[in-house]
Amino acid sequence: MLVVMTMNVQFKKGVLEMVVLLTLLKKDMYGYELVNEVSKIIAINEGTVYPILKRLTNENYFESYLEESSEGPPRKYYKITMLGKERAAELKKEWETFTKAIRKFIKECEKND
Amino acid sequence: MTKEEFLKKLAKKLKILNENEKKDIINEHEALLNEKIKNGQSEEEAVADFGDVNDLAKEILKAYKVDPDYNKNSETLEKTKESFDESVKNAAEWVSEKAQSFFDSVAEEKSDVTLTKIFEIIIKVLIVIILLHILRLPFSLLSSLGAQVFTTAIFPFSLLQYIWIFIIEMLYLATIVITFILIFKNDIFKEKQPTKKTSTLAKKTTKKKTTKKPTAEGKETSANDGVFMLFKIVLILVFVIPLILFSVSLMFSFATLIFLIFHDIFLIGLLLLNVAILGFVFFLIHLFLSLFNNQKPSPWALIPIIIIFILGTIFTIDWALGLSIEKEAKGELTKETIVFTQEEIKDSKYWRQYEIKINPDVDEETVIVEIYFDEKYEKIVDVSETGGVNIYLNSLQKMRDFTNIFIAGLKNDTIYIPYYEIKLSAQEATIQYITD
Repeated sequence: MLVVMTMNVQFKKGVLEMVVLLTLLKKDMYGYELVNEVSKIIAINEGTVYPILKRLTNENYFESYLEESSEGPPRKYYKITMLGKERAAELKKEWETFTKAIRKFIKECEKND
Repeated sequence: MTKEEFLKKLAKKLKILNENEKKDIINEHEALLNEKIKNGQSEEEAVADFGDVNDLAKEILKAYKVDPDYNKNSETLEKTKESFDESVKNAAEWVSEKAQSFFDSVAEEKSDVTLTKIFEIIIKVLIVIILLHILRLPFSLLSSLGAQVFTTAIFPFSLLQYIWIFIIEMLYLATIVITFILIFKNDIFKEKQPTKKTSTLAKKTTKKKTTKKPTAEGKETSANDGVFMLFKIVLILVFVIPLILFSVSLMFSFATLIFLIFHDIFLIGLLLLNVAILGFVFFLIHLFLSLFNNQKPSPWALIPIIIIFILGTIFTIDWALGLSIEKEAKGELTKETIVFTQEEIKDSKYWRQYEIKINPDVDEETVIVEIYFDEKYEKIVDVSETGGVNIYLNSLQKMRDFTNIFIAGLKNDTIYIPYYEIKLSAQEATIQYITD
């Protein structure tokens, strides 16, 4: 996947919700793992990721459970719910139509130059 | 910032959330930080990755649909204290970072927390010293003002100035003590807690935290009350006491105007002005005190005050336009006298006391006459052995004379400006001696 390092902060915040949802579609993850995974795709600090995770959990897109770990205290895992899966699909569709439209627009602009 | 500090700050910002929810968030952040540290990041770096704590807290609160500024208005005082503490801490951190390289070789076992602490205390002391110097100003003003008032009083009452100065100095001392206690409260009473970086201790510290929390919160609120108390005391000292003193002086002037009425001088304009200003001062005092008991004075009270003030101004201007001012002394001077004005007498220590050298060879009676306005006040003085003459005029009698002249003048719409001359009558030899 594309690694975007120098991206406008507003852009990043906009897609972050979708990226978090899609990341958890793959498998259940605990906080540190998720933050690591997300920051592979979008360079963003942890302070931005966690609140979104919290909000999505509060909105019932995720649920959390504790699991013993071999090293240290039990970890809190996040699991995507049915509602979350629907939301992820919805956002993905929106994103695709949106980027398609923008791409088309950019092309038109370049033609006019 | 250390992990402990970061978590503590975050917990404070999330106060509005319920205890379980807050604990959950804090635990998770602690776990995240521990994981990062385990993977080779330093504590500082791991914390720095989270960005600004305030922003983080804001975003988290948004996830609960809580207005992040929920405590901005209600706790401005706490906020200012917090930001003060924070800036002190930041400054201390900066200084300690700079000094760290210096002390590195010396203090191998010391963590930077203790060093930060030391500089924190040093900076706090500096700030307290500056603060107390600024606070000194109103106190000096008060003590000299009060002393001035009492020195003009007659004998037994003039001693009150020392009591006044003593009281003011005591108040200042109390302020110093209170300020010190408030600012260093946390440093003095906080038990020393070990802040070791090993993650194995994490469990223990979390356990400790839960038991420690209630007491810590109790301390905080009492500290806030203390700050508010200090604020009140400063407010009273800087505004209310001077206003009360001012109102007392206004009452004196009011009494004087009433006294003049008994002497058939009715200055309606000044009376009205006096009443209006007195009313306004009372209004201000009431306004300041309403900060403490929530009984605000109604703004309608200002309307009669303004009306009386305008009326008084009109009457006063009318009266002042018809006033004449006289400066000359109306004494008749004889040929054989030398006339000095007040300024010309050398070595005069006070305006009431003159020292005139007199020819010690001539044994004679020297008469010094003081003339002011059209009254005469004479005193025959003895020539002392050294040839100096000291004249002490009875100030009480002089005051009475002044008052009489003033009142007499007012009856004719005239004001005499205090102006007087010294008349010295002596024999030729003495006069020659003095004029040389």
